[in-house]
Amino acid sequence: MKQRLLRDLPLLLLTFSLGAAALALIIRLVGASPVAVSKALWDGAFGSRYSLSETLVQTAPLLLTGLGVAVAFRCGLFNIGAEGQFLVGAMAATGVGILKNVPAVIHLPLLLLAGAAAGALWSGIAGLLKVYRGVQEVLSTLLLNFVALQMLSWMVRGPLQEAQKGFPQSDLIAVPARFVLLAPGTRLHAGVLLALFCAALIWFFLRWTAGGFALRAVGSGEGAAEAAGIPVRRTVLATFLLSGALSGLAGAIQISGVTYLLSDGYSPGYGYTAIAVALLANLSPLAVVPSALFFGALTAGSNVVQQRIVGIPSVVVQVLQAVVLLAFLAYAWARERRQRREEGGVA
Amino acid sequence: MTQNLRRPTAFFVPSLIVFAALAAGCAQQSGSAGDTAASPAASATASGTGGKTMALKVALITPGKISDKGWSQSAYEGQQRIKAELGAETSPPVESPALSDVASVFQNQAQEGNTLIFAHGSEFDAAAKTVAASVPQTTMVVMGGRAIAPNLMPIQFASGQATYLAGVVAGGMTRTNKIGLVGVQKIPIIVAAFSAFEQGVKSTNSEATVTTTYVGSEDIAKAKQQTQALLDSGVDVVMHNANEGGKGVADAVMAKDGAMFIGANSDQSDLATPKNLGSFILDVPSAMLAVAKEVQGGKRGGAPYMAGVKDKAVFFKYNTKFAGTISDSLRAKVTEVETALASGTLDPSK
Repeated sequence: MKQRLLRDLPLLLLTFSLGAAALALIIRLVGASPVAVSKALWDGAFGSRYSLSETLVQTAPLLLTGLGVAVAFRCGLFNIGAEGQFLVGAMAATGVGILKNVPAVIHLPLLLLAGAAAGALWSGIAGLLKVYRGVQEVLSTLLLNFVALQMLSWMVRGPLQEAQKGFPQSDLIAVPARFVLLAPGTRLHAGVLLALFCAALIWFFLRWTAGGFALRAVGSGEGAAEAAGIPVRRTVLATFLLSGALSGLAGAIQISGVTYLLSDGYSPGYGYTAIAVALLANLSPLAVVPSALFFGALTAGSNVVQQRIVGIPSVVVQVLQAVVLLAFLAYAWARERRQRREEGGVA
Repeated sequence: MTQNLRRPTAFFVPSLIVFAALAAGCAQQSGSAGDTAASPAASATASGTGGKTMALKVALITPGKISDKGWSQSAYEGQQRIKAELGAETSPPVESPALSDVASVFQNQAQEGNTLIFAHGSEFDAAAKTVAASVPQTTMVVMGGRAIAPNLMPIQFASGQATYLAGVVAGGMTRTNKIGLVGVQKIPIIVAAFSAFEQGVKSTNSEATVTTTYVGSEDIAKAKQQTQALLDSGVDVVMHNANEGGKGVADAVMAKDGAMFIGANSDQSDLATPKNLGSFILDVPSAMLAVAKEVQGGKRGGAPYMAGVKDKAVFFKYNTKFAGTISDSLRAKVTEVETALASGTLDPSK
């Protein structure tokens, strides 16, 4: 394993230098200095205690949605509905968060459970459609994203709208329902730890439990799993629920850790970035942590790039993320090709 | 443990609950402490506002691209005007940040030495309020917001002044003495603007009646239908405040002989010309410039800034391609009303 990593290193370096060169070219083309952009990116992601905390804050939702996607993909289910599951999670969490007269001790747990349950229900719809009607989850989960988006738009103008009915947003959630802040002067909240804890939990589940084994077995081959006596339908459905719960929990954590309120256009696309996060991590729950951290750092960094460097429009930041992902995909593709060639040679 | 193996839920749920309970326990202890800690910093800045002018470094957050030929671009033009007319330094604008990142963008902008941050939309209001106390050296201005702090103020357009002027024009132009209003939704800000319009109508034409209808959405077809109904009932001048729906209003006016149109919020002379009398205008760059001057003069926040006729931020703009004629006496009346609005002797919001 270690040997292979060492041997792949030149390939990895090559693809990423090509990516970096492409990026530098794009940045030059819009008239900015690649060096200044890199510096701003670094400063925004790791340059100070505050930016480091921001990177972690950005990481949490990506980590959880990334886990949700990874779990589903491991079971061979292309759940690309993390975005919608994130949103319904945030909606349910807000619904619970703004309740009054909830005993303080259980308010946060209740909020998180509501978020996870809503996310699970949302992807459960796609699960049921798949298991009982054979509907492709790629289609159903994607379409459910749009339903969730419309539902959010309605919620913040309807049932969840603030008491004074001015803006399309909810009231602030109750104080006991918020995550504690971990470092003064920053937005770093305890939900980040919960996200990390979930990564460990999912790793343990996949690696060491019968349920996790069933999930992986179904992912490797439904027929074989069925022949081995694994209840495929139940596993598929349970995986949908778990995957949705993770994304829903991400929504709940954003509400109770970062914004304390729900508003229109709540997600900047965490659920879609999550797919990149999961793929970059090769679908391993533990590798999702550095992968999410990487994308979190990119987001935190790019926020500073935009406000410091003249002539960098927001789309350049998206291009930046895309190039990184493409470089990685190119690397994965080249590696796989070489592997196949070698295996072919041996046989 | 064997039971756990069979039932994943029995394994996940308790562990999450335990974690959450722990986190919540801590949150309660620190929640109140955090709130009180914020206030001394805030009050310190309030007392520190002197009368001397300060150097401006102006940052901007827009909800969309600054090349959108609309809302976000107008804010960018505002920033550029402040740079040109007040000699202020500017920072590159931040376009459409994720709403969960806005607080952090404010922090970073303050960190980078910006003394004045414009956030161009009420969606940034909540984040501005959270951040205000932690960036006491920076003044934050939220377009259309409502939150107030010693260093945070919203800009609100006195749109009633603009619609009052439009009402004066409508009252003077109607031949049937029936005027129509088409709104997107019955929300307070539009109701107030329409009420000012009606006052304007009555001030020139006490005979005229105003009928109001709300579309309920920005649906162009629906807006057209409802406008047709108004026109069929004898209405001959229609003003809208229906955003996209305005196109439907313009279509209906175009199809009706003798009907006239008044545009909303920006120069809409491309709609319903030559039946377009003009538009009431809320001019974002002028409003931003007016606020920047106030901030330069030492104002930091504490109350909303009402951008009105006095700042040339709201006015009525005649459509030069209108086919009919707007009489000189009516134009003189409009100018007279403008003067009264600017001096404050006339206030349609009261």
